[in-house]
Amino acid sequence: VTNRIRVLRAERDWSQAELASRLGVSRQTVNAIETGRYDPSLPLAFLIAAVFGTTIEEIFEPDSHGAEARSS
Amino acid sequence: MQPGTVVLACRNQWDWRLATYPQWMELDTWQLSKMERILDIMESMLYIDRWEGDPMAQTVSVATKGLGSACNSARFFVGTRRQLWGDTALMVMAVLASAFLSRALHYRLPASAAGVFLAVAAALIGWLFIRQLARGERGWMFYAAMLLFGALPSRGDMAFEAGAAPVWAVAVALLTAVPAVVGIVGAVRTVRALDEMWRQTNYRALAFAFIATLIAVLAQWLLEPLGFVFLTWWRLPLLMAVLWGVGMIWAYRRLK
Repeated sequence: VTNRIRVLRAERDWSQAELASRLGVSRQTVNAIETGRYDPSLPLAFLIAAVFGTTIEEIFEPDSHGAEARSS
Repeated sequence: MQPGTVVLACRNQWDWRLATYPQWMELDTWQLSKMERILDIMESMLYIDRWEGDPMAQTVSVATKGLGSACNSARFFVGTRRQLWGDTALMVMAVLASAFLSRALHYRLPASAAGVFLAVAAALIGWLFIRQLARGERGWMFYAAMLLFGALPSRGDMAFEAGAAPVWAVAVALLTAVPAVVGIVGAVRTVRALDEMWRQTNYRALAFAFIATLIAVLAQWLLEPLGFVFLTWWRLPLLMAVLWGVGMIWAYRRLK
């Protein structure tokens, strides 16, 4: 799963620590999600979407394998 | 030591050694570099230890250890309620540092290589903890505190030697299990308080540590007839703690 968290965060001029504070998680977790090393749970994904005032689909996208599976 | 000798005023291991052995040179031959000895020092800083030959003295010793365990438990409960895990870690490190300071000041012996290593390690960990504390990140400080606390086991088994202690002394000795239970409960509560990524990482690390320890125990069981005995009562929890740390690194690198 790829995501646009880094872009959305930059638009709001938030640091990783600030976003982590808003989400109630650690800064390392935000970093791991941004870099694609960790896929958040559905509740956390909803929370991320809520913090950015958007929907999950606007933030997260399936990777190439997931996209292929969805199209087929 | 002569049978029936009662060793008094053992504030720390060196005092006990001094009271036990007539020769000062015995202190030099004492191998501080061995972790077992260091753990003994840390333990004896908190508990009055090893009374031999006198049932009454032994009973007092067991009661004192029970009191020490109760104090430790109280400290842990207070730490839990006030979110002061870092203080516990700092306290244990302070005990460690004071042990080496005591050695240096009291016997005027040069610090051993192991002492220097441990002092540097303690300083490094202390700096890390202070930094974590300043950032408000208290999660894995607790793990290190638990690791150090795990290095302070009580020797309640002394009370179970046949006919050596009255029944109530055995009950007091059982109090030494309280810190272990508190530690387990504290660890579970701490892991549950972590965010989902660290919780998942910890669960994987714990599973890794559990299975690896099981394999190590089985390996020892197979190799024991050949004379290989590498897991003693205190090395086993230490091994689990180390494997937990290794598992954390492994699990963090294999997220997703």
